[in-house]
Amino acid sequence: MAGGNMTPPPAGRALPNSDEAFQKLLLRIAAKAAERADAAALIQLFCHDSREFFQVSGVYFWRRHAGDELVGEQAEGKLAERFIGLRLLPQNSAVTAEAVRVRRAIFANGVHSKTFSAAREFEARSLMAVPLVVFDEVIGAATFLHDSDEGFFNEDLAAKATILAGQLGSLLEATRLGEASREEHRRAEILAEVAHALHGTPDVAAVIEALADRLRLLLRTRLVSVLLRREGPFELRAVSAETPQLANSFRAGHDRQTIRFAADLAQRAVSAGEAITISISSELHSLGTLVSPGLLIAAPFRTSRTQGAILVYPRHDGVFTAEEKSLVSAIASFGAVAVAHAELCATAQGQAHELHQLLEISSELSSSGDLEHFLQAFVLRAADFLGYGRCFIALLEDTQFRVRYAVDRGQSRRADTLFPEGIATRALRAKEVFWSDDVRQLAGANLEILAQYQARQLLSVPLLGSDGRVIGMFGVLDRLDNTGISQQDIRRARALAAQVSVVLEVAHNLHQSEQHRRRAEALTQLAREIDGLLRLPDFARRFVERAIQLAGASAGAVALFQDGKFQTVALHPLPAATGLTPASSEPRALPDQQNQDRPNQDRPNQDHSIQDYSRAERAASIPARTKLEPHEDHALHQKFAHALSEFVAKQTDAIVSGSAAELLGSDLASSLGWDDCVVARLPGSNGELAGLLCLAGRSRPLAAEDRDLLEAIAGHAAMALENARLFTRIEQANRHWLEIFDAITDFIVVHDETDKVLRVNRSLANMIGVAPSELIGVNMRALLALTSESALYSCPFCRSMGEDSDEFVHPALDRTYLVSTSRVHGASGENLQTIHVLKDITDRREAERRYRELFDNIQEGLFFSTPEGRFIEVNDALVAMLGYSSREELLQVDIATQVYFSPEERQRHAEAMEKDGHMRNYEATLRRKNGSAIYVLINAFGMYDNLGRLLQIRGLMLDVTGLHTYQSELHRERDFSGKILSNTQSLILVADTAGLVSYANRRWYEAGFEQRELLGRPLLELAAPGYVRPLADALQTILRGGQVDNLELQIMRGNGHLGQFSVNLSPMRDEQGNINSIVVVMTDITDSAELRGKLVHAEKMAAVGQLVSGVAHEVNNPLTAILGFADLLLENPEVPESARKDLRVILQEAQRTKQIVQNLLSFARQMPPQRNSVQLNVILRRTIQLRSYDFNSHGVDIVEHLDEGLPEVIGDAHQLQQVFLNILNNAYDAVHEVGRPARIEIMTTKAGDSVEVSFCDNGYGISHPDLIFDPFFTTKEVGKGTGLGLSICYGIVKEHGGEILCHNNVDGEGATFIVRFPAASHTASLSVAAGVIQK
Amino acid sequence: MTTPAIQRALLPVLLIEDEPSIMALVSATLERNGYEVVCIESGAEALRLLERGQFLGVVSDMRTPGGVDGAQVHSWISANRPDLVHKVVIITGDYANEETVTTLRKIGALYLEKPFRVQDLISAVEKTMGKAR
Repeated sequence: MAGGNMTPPPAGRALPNSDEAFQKLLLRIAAKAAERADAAALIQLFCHDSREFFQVSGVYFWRRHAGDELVGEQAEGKLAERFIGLRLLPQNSAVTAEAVRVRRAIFANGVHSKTFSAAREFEARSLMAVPLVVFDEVIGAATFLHDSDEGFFNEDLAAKATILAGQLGSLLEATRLGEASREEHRRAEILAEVAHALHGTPDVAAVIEALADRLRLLLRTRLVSVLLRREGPFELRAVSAETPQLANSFRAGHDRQTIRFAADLAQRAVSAGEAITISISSELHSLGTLVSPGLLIAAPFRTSRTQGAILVYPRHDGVFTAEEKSLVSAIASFGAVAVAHAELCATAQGQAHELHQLLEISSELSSSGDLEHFLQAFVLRAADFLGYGRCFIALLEDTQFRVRYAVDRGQSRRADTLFPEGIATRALRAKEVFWSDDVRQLAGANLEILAQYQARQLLSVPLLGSDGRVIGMFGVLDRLDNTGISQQDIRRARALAAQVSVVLEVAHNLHQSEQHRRRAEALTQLAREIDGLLRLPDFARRFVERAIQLAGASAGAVALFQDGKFQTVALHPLPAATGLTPASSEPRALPDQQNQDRPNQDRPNQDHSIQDYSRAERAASIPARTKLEPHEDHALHQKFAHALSEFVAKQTDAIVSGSAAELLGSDLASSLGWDDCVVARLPGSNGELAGLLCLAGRSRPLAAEDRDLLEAIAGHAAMALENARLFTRIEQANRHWLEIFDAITDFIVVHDETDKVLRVNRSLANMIGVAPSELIGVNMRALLALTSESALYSCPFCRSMGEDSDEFVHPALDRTYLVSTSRVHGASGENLQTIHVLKDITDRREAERRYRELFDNIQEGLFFSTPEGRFIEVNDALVAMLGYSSREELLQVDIATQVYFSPEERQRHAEAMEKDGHMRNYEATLRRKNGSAIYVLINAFGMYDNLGRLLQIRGLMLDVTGLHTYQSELHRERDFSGKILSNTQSLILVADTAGLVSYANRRWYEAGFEQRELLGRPLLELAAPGYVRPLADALQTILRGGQVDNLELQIMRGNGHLGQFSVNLSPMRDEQGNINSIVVVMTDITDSAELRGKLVHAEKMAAVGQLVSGVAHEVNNPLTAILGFADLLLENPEVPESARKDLRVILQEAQRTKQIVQNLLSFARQMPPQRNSVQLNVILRRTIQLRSYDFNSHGVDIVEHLDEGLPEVIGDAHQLQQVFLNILNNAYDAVHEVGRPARIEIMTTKAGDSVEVSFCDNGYGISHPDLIFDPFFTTKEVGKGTGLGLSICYGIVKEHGGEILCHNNVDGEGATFIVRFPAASHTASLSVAAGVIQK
Repeated sequence: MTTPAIQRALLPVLLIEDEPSIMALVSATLERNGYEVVCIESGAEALRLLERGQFLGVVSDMRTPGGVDGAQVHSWISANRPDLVHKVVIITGDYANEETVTTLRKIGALYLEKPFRVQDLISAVEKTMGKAR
């Protein structure tokens, strides 16, 4: 940089007039800005002038860009050209960067090139930098450089630089804002211009061209294209280019890549739904260098039928801003509106033209009032209008399109051809338009028919009804100009079809409503006519006539269903005996006629239905006109009724249509001459069948409207029928009522407000003696032959109204009448009628009087009472009987608590009343007023209402207190003695004086006698032999009037056993004191005698025990000494053998004595035995085991029958073993000594609650079974037994609560010992065992 | 074993028995079997002897005169001469009496029922007091 262009820095620091120069500098810059200089000029001025002013080597201006990057924009001085485009990032180590960062001017003197690379590059020695801050934002910076003075800058210079930079920043900002506003203004102008240009441009192409042009100008771009699409692909519709060459090149790109590319972009924009930006290059758009590479804007827009996109190609001098992009979107929307507007204009114009033509057609045609005519004319005009050779209208009839109106080359003709089924009809049924330029080419085309019609082009449009239903088709064939079928044709055809549809619909509706109106009128008339007919046959006849008319039938019948069958049958017309009546012939001819000219009923055709109706009316009215007398054909009616009954059984539908033969039977159908038949049910008021209506000769199938009509007719008929029935019923009821009126024996008279008789019944008339009719109009008083005495009421019966008494006593006749009066309004509603019913109660009054007399005077108590327990009426006798002072008092009492003593008794009576409805001779104890009892006999009966509820109890009471007292005493006495007789332990007999038993008490029968063997038997026979005499003596004593007490007799019991009795005998005397029978009272003393014996025995045993115990003790001491010394002696070796022998005898005998003593003690000891649960089988086996050696060695056979299920007993095992051992020993001794093979059977069994052990031997038996258990009793030879064994057993067994018995065997061999112990129940054994342990 | 035998031989067996024949029998039997025997008829006397003297053991009748019976002798020994409590043999002829039997069982002394055999007596004494020689 040491070049010659180096500008020497201004010398000296203190600048002359520096402040002034600085102010001038500021003014210069401001003036430049005021000249509307642009930013570049301002900066240039700034650089230049400030360098001069500061006298520095260079001034550099940085512009701040995005990312805080500083870019060199303008410079003056040293290396200025190098500075342009220089980039300085904020992070770079540089004075300028620092100044920007801190936002104030800074300077650096003596710059070290090491630190600042840029400074080195620019050879700086001193640097100063200042940022340009606008609105608190740095927009740029200025740098001042000195390349020789290392300390050039100072604070003063920095302050000035700051001021300069501030001014420059403000001016730059102002300049930028001014430019921006100018740009905005320009755009707004363009937009307004665009809008103006587009407005009012009716042509779509022009709109789009304008749009493209304006947009290109606005955005200053070279190329703008607009693409549109309706239904196909996008097409280029407008190009606006900078140059005609470019436009041509672009257009020439038709079908080439350019357009495809453009279309693709358009498609993308449309899909995105908003403006998109695409980066393009020359390879992509195939326009070479004509279009700059860069960003392209594609903005979509759409109208109701068009989609489009505006493509704005890149600008050569920069990218589009976001604002511009949204501007494009806005203009695209403008464009859309304008295009839509233009489209609408075009459509409207086109349609206006068509409309004009169509209106013309309709106005021409509307002059024709006839539908047929209209349609015929219509096809003619339509063919002409559309420019086709042929035109037709086909109607959908019975699912087929039938061509009805056609025109061929201007010649209208009535057609009736079926339109062939095929692809066209299918499309039409689907409500779609069908067209083809060559129907012969269609797949599946019926070439034959096409050839026949020479059809080529076909355009057919469905005719749709208001409800969307296809009602037909409108079609044209073959364009006259031989061109293809256009969309316009289709549209026009549709418009025409719509017109036809409307006309057809209107016609149809008109027809329908007319039909409905007529039917409604007819029905109303029907209702009017038949409502007046209250007699059923009249009704039926008229109804069937009208129904035939209404339904368009030729014949018919109505049958009314009553009481389960068809009774009234009305046929119309009546079948003639011969030939055809006009009525039947004409309707029968109808069907053919109708088929010819109107095969379909549903088709809208008012004329036909009117004809139809009038024809039916004519047919139906003929019989009426000719006044044919209805001759009732009963056989036919019955047949008809029968057929209908069968029909009803089979059919339940409200309306059934079919052939007459099928529905009614061929026989009846031919008799009637009916072919077809419709049967409708006439519903009754409550839904049941009221009748049937049959119609024939209707000549067409039953349509929905017909059904509705029939139902309406049936409904009317049902109502009318019901009325007729009700009327009949009322009439009958009325007649019935009159009969009743006359039949009533009470007098009935009806008079009006003036007391004139309106009606009397026959009874009253008979009483007076004239006919009822003669009394009508007579005054009431005159009727009763009364002389006037009161003017207030002229009718004597009316006088009693409102007073208590409703009885009237006729003074002349001396009769009493009960009068009941009611008032009703007469039929006319105004005048009040008074009805009097007079009941002659003279006889009843008399009866009542007599009854009252009887009631009051009878001596029995009479009562009426309520079931609840109150007297309603009582007579004086009852009042007296119950001790009350007056009737009134008794009527107050509560029967249940005050009259009855016990509620139970009253309950019993109430139950009897309920069960039987009466009480017969019921005894009751009642309470008198003073509380005393009275015994009465009650007879009563119940009074019931018609529901069977008890209303009153009426009855009579008899005082039977005296009788009752006597009876009860008697009864008590009898009861007392009877109880004694039954319950005494004594046997009591009554014998007559002859000694024959006449009575025996219950004890006798318990004692084994039977009544028949006892009664009538001589008393003496009862006595045992040997006692007869004492008894006979006793009887004699009695018969003499004595008494015998405590006579002990043995008497034979019923079982033949003798018993010991103590007998007392007494005589019984009759009223005269004569003895007439003997009472014998016997007390059985057999048991007590035995008991006495046993007691004695037990006492003896106890005494013996005590004795033995004492003796044994005394014996023991000497015995011990004897035994002991004998032992000692025997031990002594010095005792000689001879003495030893004797000693052994002593010892042996002493031992025997010891045994005896021990036995005695065992028998006698009082210690209670052990008490354990023991099994006797075990003890028995152990005992047998003890003696088994002896038994075996002596050939004694032991047989055991031990019950293994034997219950245990509570006892002392040791003692029990002793018992068994004793018995066994005894048995052993017994069997041992007899000669035969010895056998002992031992058996254990459970016997009830006892356990029984029996020992049965075959020994010599027991000589004294009764003594065997006594102590010291022995049968054994002396020295063999102690006589204590069995007595010990006895004691032990008794202590165990058991018993021991013995008897000789029945067969005479041996004896049996039986020991019984109470079995230990499980729980008992436990408790006893527990007791033992506690002890 | 020899020393106690010698010692024991020095001590007599106290026999309490009022029945002369039984007293003669028991003393004869014991003496012949090498025991020394001191006889006394009354239970009350026996207690006085027991207070003062040493005995090998006691053989006592159940029913003894003097207001003190065999059972009371036994209970006195239990209280005052515990060394002798297992050396008592009771003789009874009253086993039919429930009360007696209950008492005997209660005191747990060895007892002999009259009429007993000589061998039974020797066995009982030897068992309680040891053999004399």
